[in-house]
Amino acid sequence: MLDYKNSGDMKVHAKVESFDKKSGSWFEGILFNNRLVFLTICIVITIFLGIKSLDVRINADFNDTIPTKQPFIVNYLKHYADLQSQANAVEISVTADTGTIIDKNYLNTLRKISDKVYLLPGVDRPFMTSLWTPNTRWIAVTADGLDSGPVIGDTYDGSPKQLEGVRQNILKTGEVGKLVSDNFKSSMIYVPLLEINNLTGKPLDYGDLSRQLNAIRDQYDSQGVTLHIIGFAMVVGDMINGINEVLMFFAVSVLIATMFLYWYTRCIRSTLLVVFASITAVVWQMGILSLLGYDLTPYSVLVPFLVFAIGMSHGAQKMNGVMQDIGRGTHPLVAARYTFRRLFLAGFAALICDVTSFAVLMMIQIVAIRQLATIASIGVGILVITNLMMLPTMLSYTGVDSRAALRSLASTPEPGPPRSRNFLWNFLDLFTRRNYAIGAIVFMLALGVFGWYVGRGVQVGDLDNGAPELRQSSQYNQDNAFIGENFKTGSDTFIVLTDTPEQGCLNYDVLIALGELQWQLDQLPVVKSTNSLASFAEYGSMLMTEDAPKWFGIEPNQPMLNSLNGGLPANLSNFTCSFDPLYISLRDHKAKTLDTVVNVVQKFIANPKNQSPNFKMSLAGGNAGIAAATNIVIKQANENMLFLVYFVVIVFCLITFRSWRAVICAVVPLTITSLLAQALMVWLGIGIKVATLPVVALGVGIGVDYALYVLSIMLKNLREGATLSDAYHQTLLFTGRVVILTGITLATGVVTWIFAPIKFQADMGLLLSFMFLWNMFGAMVLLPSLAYFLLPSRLFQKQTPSG
Amino acid sequence: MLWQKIIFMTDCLFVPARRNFGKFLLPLLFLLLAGSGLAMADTNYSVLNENAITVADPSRVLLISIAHAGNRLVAVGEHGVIVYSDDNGQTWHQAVVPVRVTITSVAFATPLVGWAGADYGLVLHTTDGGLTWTKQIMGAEINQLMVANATQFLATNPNDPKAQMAVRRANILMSAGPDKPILSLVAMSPEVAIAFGAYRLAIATNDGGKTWTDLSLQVADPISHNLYDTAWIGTSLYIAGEAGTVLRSDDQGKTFVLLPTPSENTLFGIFDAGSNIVLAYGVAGAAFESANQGQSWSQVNVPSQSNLTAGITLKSGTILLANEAGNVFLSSDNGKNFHMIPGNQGMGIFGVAQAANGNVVLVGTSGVRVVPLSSLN
Repeated sequence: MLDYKNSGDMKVHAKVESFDKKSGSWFEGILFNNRLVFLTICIVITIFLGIKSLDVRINADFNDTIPTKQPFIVNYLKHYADLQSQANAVEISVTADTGTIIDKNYLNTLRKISDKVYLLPGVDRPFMTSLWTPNTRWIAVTADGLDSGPVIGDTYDGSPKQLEGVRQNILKTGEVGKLVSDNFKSSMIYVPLLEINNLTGKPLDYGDLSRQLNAIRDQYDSQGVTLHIIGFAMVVGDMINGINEVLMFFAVSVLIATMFLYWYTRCIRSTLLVVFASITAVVWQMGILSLLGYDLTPYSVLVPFLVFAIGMSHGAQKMNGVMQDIGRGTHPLVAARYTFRRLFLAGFAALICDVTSFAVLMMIQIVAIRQLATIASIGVGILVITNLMMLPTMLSYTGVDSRAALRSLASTPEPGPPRSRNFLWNFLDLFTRRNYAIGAIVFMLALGVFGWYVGRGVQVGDLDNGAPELRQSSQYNQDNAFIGENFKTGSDTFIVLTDTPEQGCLNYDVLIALGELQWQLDQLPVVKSTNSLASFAEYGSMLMTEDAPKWFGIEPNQPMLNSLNGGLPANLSNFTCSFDPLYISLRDHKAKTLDTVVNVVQKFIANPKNQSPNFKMSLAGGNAGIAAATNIVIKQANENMLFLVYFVVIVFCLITFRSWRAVICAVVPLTITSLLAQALMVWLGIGIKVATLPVVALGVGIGVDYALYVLSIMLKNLREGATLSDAYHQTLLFTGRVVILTGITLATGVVTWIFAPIKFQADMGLLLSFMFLWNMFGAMVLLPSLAYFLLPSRLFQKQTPSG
Repeated sequence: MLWQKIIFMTDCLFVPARRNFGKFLLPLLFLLLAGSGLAMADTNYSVLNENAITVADPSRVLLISIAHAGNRLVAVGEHGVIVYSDDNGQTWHQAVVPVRVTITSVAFATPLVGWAGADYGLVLHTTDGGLTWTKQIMGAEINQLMVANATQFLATNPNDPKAQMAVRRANILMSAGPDKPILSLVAMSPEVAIAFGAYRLAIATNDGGKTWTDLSLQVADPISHNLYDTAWIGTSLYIAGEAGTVLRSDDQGKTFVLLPTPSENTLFGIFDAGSNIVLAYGVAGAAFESANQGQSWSQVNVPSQSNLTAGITLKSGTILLANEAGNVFLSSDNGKNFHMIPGNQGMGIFGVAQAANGNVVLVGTSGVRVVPLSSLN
């Protein structure tokens, strides 16, 4: 019903009275004959959602980035309480600018910092550790037996004797390299975080937390110490706090797009309308986001911009159509209806195709990606209303600048012999001929094969140290490098989980198996240090024998092992002594590192020798364990997702074109863009992860817009009996030129992002501008070349008599 | 139940303990533990049947003892790791070892022939200077030797309370299984060696380790202490052990007599401080010396609160002690005064040797540290 075949002949009607209001589809009739009602509804919705959109917060929830159904995570969540927020913590290294930490002033400053951090919202206070917290204890042997106490005692007064005592106590904790750096110049404040703000009960605001931590850093940096702060909260916080700059870059992109559009149309009125309609879509989207109770995350912050970009692409098409008709002397209302008639279906198919391909992302069991998919789908869905319906109705009132309309028509000569065409159209027209078509296809297929070959190397997960979302020169990554160099533990912890029967955590066979695994892992170059009840028991039997070095080891004496029960460190087991976590501190969380650890552990568990009714080992906890699980989920999802996205695109193209030949013409250029985008990711060193996974899918969504606008008009012309060359030329004059315009406009706008302070945005800018440009190029060059072989005009001439 | 009492008693370890703690409680406790009947059943110990795995860096594992095999240095430590260096401690290589248990002690009779003692009462043997090792005897067998020896002793002296006590002791230790580590070794020739261990474990061989005999009844230590270290001083063989135990043999290790105790502090080491002065060191910085073969002792003042766990007399005559907190102490006046050298080794120090080039090689919790001789002056 909503078919361009219904459009009939579109005569020029200078006066609206001569126009048959009932012409066109029923849908067009309802919309345009009640356009005032429709626009009023739109304005009301805009005001309502505009107010709602003010409530949208930018934040991220650590648990939302976790694939909750993945087996590692299922195991991890079972032990969530036992592991005391091991996954999400902030680590603050406080370095003395001069001398060592055994210094009265340093320890005073450290106490002040420790006290301030203790009071921050979201801190899991009982488990926070620093030299000053009472849970940091030493155990040692004295002439009188075993003794223990806090590192800095109640009687500490800063005297040299007391300071020497602190130094001895630190050595006795066995925490050198963890709590205190090997060179005694830095000490660590370990701050586990809750998911909620314990002061307000609301979800923890990472932006706020990171601002407060940075304020503490600034305050004490001038007081003889240097602070280095790492952790998920800081990465996300830095990204959230950098959001103003992100928004500035968005604004620059919007400005560039607007300027290009104006340069092209020379009509302020319609340019502003197109931008207005696209921004309206973003406002609606944000309002709905707020109604759904979602936060905008640093990863989904790109989505509103993408919606804007797609909106611009469709809006420009509508405006161009209206402008050409007005230039021919048509009344604005009629021009708007004609444009709606010609392009609604192509636009609708493209947008629904986008919506569905974004929705495919929802199959990934990670809340953050599902929210992103929901936001993107909704946003693009909204464009159907704002840019396909609201924009033409608005144009029907405003019309366009009359000089601009004439100018538009002047640059759009009626189809004629090649010599009347301009250079660019002549050049593009070459691809409807045999030799150029073959050349283009061979070239593009070769590129596709090249892209596939390079793109095979695309890795899942992080490929750099620290936080790849941030630049290597950023404060965070410098802090991360510093802590990595000076401490044996770092921000990347992998935990192997071992369950035992109750009171069985110290069973000889458990400890031996755990110790074996730990010892194997210790030999990996990527492992910095390990900790478990097995290594505790090795030192424990020393403790039981007055710290005699020769008693180091797990002795085959169960009562002796059991006797360690009274002094187990809280993080090495649980209340019922039925859980033995093995902590593995890694040098980084690169995909390769995590793979290595997972492989060693899985191989160990699979060995029948290490299976026993007395214990069960499983993967995995810690932020690195979670990252490993996420990588596994994303690796599977990436393959399935691209397959599904393409399936959706093909089905929609089939429905729209009802021709498998046209589907090939539309989809092959997209495929080559996808392959090259993967190659680009390899080349730029971008791994596929929660943040980057959606981009390729989004790229397909954007690309299909171009193909649909070009191909639907081309098919219409071909079905009306035009030769391929003429059909393509007419398409270029109508929608093709706008495809070129939007491709260049959006690519130019987005490419400025490479100067963004956040590397994630810079990478996305490069990837997106590549995809904008290459999709445009594919639609302009490869599509007609493929059409030469797949859609020759004789095909339609034969059909005409019968259909 | 008994084991609950034991756990209760052991819990007390984690509160500041009473005086005299070290003297009686620990040996008593472990005898109780050993005899509690809850010891491991007859388990197939996988760690005794698999080769030690290759480590990433042989110089960075926990090492407990170090010895000379000629000019080669051989050090032993955690998870069956034995490492050796032929360039005075600069580079280290891992030996082939058939077990994965903690190796506690090592001694060589010649540059090629030596023994190493380990957990589970294991004695390892090498005939190629420490490159490859084979198992000679393990805890279960030692237990049997001990019971057989005590039983025979009782058979020939049925009314001797000492013999009755010996049988009781042997049976208790036997029932605990092979849980007693070898703690110290002395290698006198390629044929003759003695190994000492936990709870007065003592075994000797006269045929290069083909057969071993129980020696524990010849060691006159009535409370069955842990025997941590042995040393030749003059023509006598000394043993230092738990709760200040010092024993001496004047007959090449056939019998050992108990010497007056310098203090109740456990001793981890004993060595010749030059001029036949006996120097013993141990828990909480305690060190003692005797100029009369251990008949009387005087305290040596070492500025250490931590356990002293390694000691040696350097070729220059300077005496070196090191502790678990990573500090090194020197005395150039035959042990009358010790001073701490500046800088910390950053690890607990468990063993020391002087390499052929004079440099001091320390081993401990983080592996090897080579201290150039020049920095000790």
